[in-house]
Amino acid sequence: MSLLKEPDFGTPARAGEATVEITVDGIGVAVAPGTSVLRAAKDAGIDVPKLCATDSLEAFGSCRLCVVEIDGARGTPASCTTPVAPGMVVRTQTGKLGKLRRGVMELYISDHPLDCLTCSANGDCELQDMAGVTGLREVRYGSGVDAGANHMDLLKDTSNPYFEFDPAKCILCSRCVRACDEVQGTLALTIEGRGFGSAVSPGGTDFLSSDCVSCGACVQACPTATLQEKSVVELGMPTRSVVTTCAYCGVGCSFKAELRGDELVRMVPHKDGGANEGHSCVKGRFAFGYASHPDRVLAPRVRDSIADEWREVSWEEAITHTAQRLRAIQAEHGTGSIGAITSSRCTNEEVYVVQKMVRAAFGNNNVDTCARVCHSPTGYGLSQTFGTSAGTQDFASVADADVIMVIGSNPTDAHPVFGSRMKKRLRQGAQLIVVDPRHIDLVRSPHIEAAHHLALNPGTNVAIVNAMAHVVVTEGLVDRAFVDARCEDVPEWEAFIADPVHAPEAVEEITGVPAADVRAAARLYATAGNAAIYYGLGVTEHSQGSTMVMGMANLAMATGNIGRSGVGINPLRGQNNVQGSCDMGSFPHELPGYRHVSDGSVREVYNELWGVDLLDEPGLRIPNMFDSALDGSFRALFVQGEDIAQSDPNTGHVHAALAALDLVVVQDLFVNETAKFAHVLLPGTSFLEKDGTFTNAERRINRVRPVMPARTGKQEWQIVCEIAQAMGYPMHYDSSAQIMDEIALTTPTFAGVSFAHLDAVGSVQWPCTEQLPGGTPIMHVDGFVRGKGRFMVTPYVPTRERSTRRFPLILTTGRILSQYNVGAQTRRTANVTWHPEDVLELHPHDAEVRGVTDGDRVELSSRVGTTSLRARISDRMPVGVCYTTFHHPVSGANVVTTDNSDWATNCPEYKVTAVQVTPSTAPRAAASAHERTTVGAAGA
Amino acid sequence: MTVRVFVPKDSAAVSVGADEVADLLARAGAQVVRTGSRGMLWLEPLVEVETDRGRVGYGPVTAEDVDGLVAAGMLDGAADGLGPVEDLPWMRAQQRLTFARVGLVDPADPDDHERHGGLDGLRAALAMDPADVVTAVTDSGLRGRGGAGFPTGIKWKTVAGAASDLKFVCCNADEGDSGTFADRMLIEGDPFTLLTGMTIAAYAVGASEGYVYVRSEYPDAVAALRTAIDAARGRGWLGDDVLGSGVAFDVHVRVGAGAYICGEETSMLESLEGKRGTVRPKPPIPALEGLFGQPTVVNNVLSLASVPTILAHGADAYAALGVGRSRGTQVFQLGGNIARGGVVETAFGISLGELVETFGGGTLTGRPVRAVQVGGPLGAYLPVERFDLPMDYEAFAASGAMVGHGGIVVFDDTVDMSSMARFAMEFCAEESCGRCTPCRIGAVRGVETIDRIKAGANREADLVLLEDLCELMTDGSLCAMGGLTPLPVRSAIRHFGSDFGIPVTEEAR
Amino acid sequence: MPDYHHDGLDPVVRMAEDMVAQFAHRPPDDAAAAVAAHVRKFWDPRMRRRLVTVVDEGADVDPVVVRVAEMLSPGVPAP
Repeated sequence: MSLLKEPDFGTPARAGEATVEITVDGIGVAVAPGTSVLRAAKDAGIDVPKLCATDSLEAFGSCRLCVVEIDGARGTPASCTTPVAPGMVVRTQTGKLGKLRRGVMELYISDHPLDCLTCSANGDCELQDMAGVTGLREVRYGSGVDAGANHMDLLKDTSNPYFEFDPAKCILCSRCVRACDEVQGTLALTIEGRGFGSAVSPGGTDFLSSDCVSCGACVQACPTATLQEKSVVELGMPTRSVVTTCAYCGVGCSFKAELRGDELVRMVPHKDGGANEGHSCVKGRFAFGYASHPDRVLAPRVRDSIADEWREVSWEEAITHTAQRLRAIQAEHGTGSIGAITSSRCTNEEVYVVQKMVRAAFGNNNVDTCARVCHSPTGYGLSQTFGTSAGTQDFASVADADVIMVIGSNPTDAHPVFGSRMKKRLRQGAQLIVVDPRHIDLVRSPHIEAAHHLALNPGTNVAIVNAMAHVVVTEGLVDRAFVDARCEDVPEWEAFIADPVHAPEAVEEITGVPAADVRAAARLYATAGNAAIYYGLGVTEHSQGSTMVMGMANLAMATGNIGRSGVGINPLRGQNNVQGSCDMGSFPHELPGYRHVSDGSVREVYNELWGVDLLDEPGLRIPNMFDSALDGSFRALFVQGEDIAQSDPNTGHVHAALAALDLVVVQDLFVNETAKFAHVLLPGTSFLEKDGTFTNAERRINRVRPVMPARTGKQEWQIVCEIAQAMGYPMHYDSSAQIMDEIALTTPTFAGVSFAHLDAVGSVQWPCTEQLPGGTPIMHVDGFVRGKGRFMVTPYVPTRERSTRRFPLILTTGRILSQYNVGAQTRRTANVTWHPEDVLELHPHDAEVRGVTDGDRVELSSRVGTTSLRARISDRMPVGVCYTTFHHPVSGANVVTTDNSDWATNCPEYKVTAVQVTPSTAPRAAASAHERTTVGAAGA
Repeated sequence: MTVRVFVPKDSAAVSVGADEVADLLARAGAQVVRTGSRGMLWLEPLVEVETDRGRVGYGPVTAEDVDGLVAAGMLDGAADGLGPVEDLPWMRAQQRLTFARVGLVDPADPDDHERHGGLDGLRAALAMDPADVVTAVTDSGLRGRGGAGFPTGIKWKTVAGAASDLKFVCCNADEGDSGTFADRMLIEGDPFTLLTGMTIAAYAVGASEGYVYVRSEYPDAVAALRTAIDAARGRGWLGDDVLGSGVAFDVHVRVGAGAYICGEETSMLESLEGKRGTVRPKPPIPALEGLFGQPTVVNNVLSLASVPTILAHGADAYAALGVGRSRGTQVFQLGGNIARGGVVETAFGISLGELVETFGGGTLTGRPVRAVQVGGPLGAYLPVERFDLPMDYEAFAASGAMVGHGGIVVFDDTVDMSSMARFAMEFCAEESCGRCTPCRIGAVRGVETIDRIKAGANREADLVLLEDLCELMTDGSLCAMGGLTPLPVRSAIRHFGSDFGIPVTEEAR
Repeated sequence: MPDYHHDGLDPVVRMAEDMVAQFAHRPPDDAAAAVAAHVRKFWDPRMRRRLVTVVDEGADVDPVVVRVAEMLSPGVPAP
């Protein structure tokens, strides 16, 4: 296997039919209108020399290498900036052009170090390639002591932990600056000075202190060694590539893992990746070092009591011991006394075998997944209204949106690669509505400003969405044709929503949002063309999460914003495989493909195939497992790759529940917080070792290919199968591909999926059937999955959680760009450079009345617990609301979060906790003691 | 009755003491009107006294001269002076159309402007169909006076035909070429003419907003323009209902930040948008995607200021002047080592020698003229042998030179042309935006190579290298900045090879 | 069971009351039927049993929750 280099067409593709025919060096080619001559030439198989052009960026016309001759045109235009015209006759290779190109290269090299042999980009340098292609043999402008003015003495900027900037090697092509502008949309880089003094600059400071978000787009775009991964500088150029899928957030970016032997040198975003199309973020691009971190557990461990020391054992002993203990507990306490939690971090195949183990080998339905604590309301709400538990669009759809409404989501931090796509569309002129208590970056950032920021009180989402729907209905903005043709339960809903209690004016007191703003936002959403809703955990992690999801679905249906590109209801999934783990039958009431366990015909399929008699009653959900552990009916838990002791709410409750269990089996990379309560620790594999598939937020099934062998010696699905076997249930697969074959065989929406198909087409979005081998990028186009879209009555029911005199502030939580979830991975990388600790953001007024100043350590208390954090005074917060992230165990946001949960799904209400903040009286040492007993945070 | 005395407020006059002279004349009891300059810069401060014979000129008048002149009866037009200004040969020999009111009127007084026929062109245009206005401008043969010489009517027609709710008219007043000052003098001396020219353009193409991009080195022009815009808005010459026609158009002033490259039209647009002033590749042309991506007329001050006279007196009258495809008049600017520097507006076709010798009177030093640079720092150097060349875009192009913005800089026989060639490269290196390689690195290498040629160690090879570099910059640069820099360099080598150590016999003249 | 919720409510009662609140716009019997249907679809039988038991034992709960428990009672599977 060798290094995979995607072809570079020089300028972006243009949409449209290939109707413009031109001739390049005698070869005819037809391309879409607006295509550059450079790209057309490439289509004709002709590489025109270039340096400043690359197909991820608009043409710039700076290097002047791609000059061509065009019949009837004056001079030698640059082919990158010249669009095709019908009948154009182009010549790319003439004596004159050759001389010009050599002249350009001669100038470049006259200001470039001649250290190719020792340069980190040797062999992967476009400048080097072009010197060869143009036949440069001599630099007559002098070198060495005769050298003219040059930049070769400029110093490197090594401040970023992952890449370095060596201005001495810079050729001023501006690809980095343009990538930062056009692809990432951060606009952190610029060219300072002019003429020969022009220099790439991160805004007059070093990269680390600049606005740079370390997405790597500049490094990716750089044609030389100027912006280079430090890993390449240290290890050398990689020699082979494996295309795989990122294991961080639900965007599901495709990457080329580039290796030297078995050593991973760098992760390079893959241009063919449907989700990311060549873009990346600081996590996926750079934060993979945790996979080789010394904290990794590589051999199984067992202990009798959590007070004992761990004992390393063989795989055989660990598996046998686990199986025997599980069976023994069932013998004593009943079939239903054990269960498992699957992980949204694991592959579809790994998740599938765990739920199969539970249903077939355990003989119950006590399986749940961490999606319970993040997007379970999405599943419920969209299933009730549309008939399927998934977002309606592909990511590319956002490029067709005219209005983008972002609710309870902070994509530029939590889903940065999609955030960049969204920002690109916003810079093109789409309007933005942000519904969030907090002033997130999107509200106002370079070239982007929200038309409306509805800074609502936490917990009042439903009141807002109902008020918007009320405006739509009462102001005659309903898309009557859509609603009449495609929806049901319309009159009931309209009667409900038209009630003046839902008017923006009536709920102003509740939401804190001026009625006029709500009306204006509703009108904009309803009338501006294609309106798309993107949302996150700020919607779901509430006691009315499911109601809110249905409320958004109502709004989209009422305005006809479903079933085409540019519209839809789009959950931004937190973890890499939230969608997949739900698809795979991880919920206690559902078999794979969202089919209720009470459905006899579905059970029959599995009974037949698995040789069992499946239970027709739902099992326990995660919070129910904790309650049942405390009441003694639930005794053993298998936890796959999930740190419930850190991530689930009300830490005190979770810890007590875990401590009450007779057996806790943890399958994980690290000795995580949950492992502290475990009796068996089964080392897991990182995404670099896995062989399987992840399904991202747009239902895209992506291949996860093993970049290196399992460092533990076993794939996780093998371990699960062996436990089932040892429990006496025959369960065996030769490969993970075989597991997918079984999924496809039993799950109609996956019928056309196989590893071979994915390897052939790259990725597909389910439903993928024999009739739809290409998958379904956009759902509900001609009809809803459930037939008619169903309007649901969505009353606003306030949360039980209220601010009081004792707990006067509302705490809400979120994420920051550089860290991921509970931080188990990112804290073991240099990403801690950006975010070494979680802080509590407080409005200046709330801080002042408490005598808190920026940087002070404060006590954060709720009805259920107290923790300690450093305060940051920030006017991003409204008065009365404070905010923290949950990436570090020491901060312990979940020590204070409560057991309030979504009424329909029990998804915890992480986003609303009444708290008090007081200046910390305890010295740092006390806080350390606290760290040992309570741990961090929320959600997926 | 108080005598009206006219003293220029033009910054060229002010720089030699016009303000002090005006003060003293006011104290002596004259009613002082501040005007623009007539363009006879060697006569500044040129004081004109209103008499029955017309405006009688005195100049140059220094502060020390005032008392004596007043005592000698100057305020009655009696003292010895230049006689009626309009009768001076320098003035009589010109055909002042664009500059008709410059030096004559008070640039801050809209009534004065209107009295001198300043609104005739706009009124005529508003009475026509917009498409007919475009046709008139096309028929007049007016070409871009900024230097490129592109037919103005064709450009307007493109903008007029572009479908958009929002179009702009942008006036390029970033007059950065060495030896040029006509834009400044027009704005300081008759800003309303520029504004009416822009309004006619806006009406013709359907634009609603105009911007004048003025270089920061022209604070007096900026002030004059802002005063005129305020006055024009007050009179309804600009605004929602221009002259009661229902046409809406307004003009805003933007001040540059000292970059020569921002005189290049696409860089100017970038700068107007608040970005770094770097060149945009074309296509797309600004006429279709200009300011903020909208269809935009970008014209030089002189092009726009020529429009009112075309509309007032008809395309034919304008087109009747000139030669070949260079129709109408050009405002030439004489500078450098010249006895009589200033502005000369005359029909195309006048010879270079006539401008330098007849109008300019040869060098200021009295030494023989050796070289003339026409068209700014990117224009070719021409030897005296080429003084027969007619001022005509095509004739100049055929001689490897360019008319440009009409600036003519004169050098006497002490000039070292290798230094001038070096300066051309140095200027390019200093002012390059840095976007394209031939200009960014090439100009620096050009300086170094000329230095080596002058040192002479490897002259032949270095001359070949310099020629290769000139070819690369000409054919490979993104804009005219890098593309034209070889013009002065190559012309200096071609005509003045001996200054580069090339044996005279090899000189190709 | 220790009260980790600090509100003295049994978890099944809290959950049932949360659901009842969502259907408060409907007549009590309708609301109870909707909640009972939801519970049958999503709750483990032991939780349903617990709700029935807690209500039977006279817990101070919303009257609609009592109605829910009555509806669930016949179908609750034995332990």
